Amino acid sequence: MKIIHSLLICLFSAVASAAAFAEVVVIVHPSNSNSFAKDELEALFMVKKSNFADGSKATVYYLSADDNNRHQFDEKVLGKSSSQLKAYWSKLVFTGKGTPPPELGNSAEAVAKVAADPSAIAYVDKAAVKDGVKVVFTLP
Amino acid sequence: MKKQIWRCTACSLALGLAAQTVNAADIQFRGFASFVGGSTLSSDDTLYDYDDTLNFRHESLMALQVDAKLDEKLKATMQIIGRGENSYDPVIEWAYLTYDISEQLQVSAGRIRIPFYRYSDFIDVRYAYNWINVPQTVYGLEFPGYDGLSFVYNNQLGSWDSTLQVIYGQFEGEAMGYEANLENLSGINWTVTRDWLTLRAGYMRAKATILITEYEQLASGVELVGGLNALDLSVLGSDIRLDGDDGDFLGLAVGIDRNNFLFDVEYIQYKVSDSLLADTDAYYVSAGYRFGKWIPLLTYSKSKSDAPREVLNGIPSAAADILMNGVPLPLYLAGAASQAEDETTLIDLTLRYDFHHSAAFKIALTEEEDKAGEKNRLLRFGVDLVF
Repeated sequence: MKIIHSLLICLFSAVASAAAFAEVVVIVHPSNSNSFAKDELEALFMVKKSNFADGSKATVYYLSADDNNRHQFDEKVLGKSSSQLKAYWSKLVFTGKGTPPPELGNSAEAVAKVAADPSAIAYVDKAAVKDGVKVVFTLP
Repeated sequence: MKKQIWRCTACSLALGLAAQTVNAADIQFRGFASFVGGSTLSSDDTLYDYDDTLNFRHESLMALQVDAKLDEKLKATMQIIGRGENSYDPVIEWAYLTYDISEQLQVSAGRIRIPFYRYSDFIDVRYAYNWINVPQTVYGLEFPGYDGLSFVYNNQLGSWDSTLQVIYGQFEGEAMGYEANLENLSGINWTVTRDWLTLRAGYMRAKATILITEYEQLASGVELVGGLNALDLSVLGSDIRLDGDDGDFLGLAVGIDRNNFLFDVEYIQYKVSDSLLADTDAYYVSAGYRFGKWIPLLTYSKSKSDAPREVLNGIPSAAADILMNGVPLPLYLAGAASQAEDETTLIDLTLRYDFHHSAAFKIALTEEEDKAGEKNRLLRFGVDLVF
């Protein structure tokens, strides 16, 4: 009986954590005054463009491949599954045509990077946002 | 021997690069691998070197790429591939430097893959496509890298992403088991992509010398028989050989990836003038559907080579009665020409499963039917990864 009870608790907490999807936002340095539509973000994060709309250089950061915020961003903004995005970068990397953006370990690290660099742009868990960065896009 | 020297140079290059890590800022190692096992379905069947004993060697490979970024614009890249079929002996298949002339225009110089086909550039990075390997009916021309230049121009045309590549160089070495030389190798290809649609067109040409054993023997035989009859048949011999003849290659491709429906077509044709090499054209059509991490993919492909009968026009009238192996020369050559005629049909069913964000499992059943209606069936499975 006790076992069933704890199993149930396990099950419920698993369901609860799955349901509590983090809200993902795109952040830039407060000095960045560009506006960001979804198309613009897609071009920047696929590195089809390496400059912001105002012509200044963009430094893009990804989160690591097993980060859930990344999965949401890849699917909702880039329209690609993890493996589709991996295939996209493989084609460019192994033909010398491009290099994927550096990956950061977690949202807190990304917030720190963006706060310190006027050219940086990254997607993070909304809960990790602090003063010193500006939210320019919230994932639907 | 030549290969050996190239390898040594590459090794010292690698050592040089490694020694520089102290001051050179950015060196990255990346790689990819495929491990494939397979066997034909019956003891009568053979296909792509497989027979009915399970083999894990023929198509397995592992590669390591070193990228040395010297500054924002200048980069040196080397790719070392070990192939199972060659006991994983490491060979430098790519070695080049890349310079970004502008944000849109990039030039590379060194040893680079010849971009015949849509998937040529990443043909060994099998994680990047859904088959176990590209359809051999279409991807029949296998040349390792050429030595020369490649210009790549990327830009936006309205809402299309456009990539234009122009190459120039030469190839000298072994290809498809023959000594080969492609001089004045030049080509252009253009790829445009919009949302779910990709279109590609490419054209290449070269002066081709390929010492195909059968043709060399036939040409020497013809010249010898001519000599015995006091006739100079060296022009006819040259019409058989691939000896600096004009080669042309055309490729067209369409790719669709929409709402998880996958549809791809590629059509190619090539010919080498004044040679016994048959004019060949081939295509594949493939359709699949992405169910999350699973992709079933069905491919149909056909290649057709016409008998190169032009060679018969080159027989001087004086040589019409000469006997070769007891057969009149025109008849003998007509026989050789019709032997070059070929038609192959391929049906392939592949299932891909992305079990990891950087690795995919694939299993495929392939059937090829030759011009005589003989069928060979092959079952393969494998794992592709990138790292």
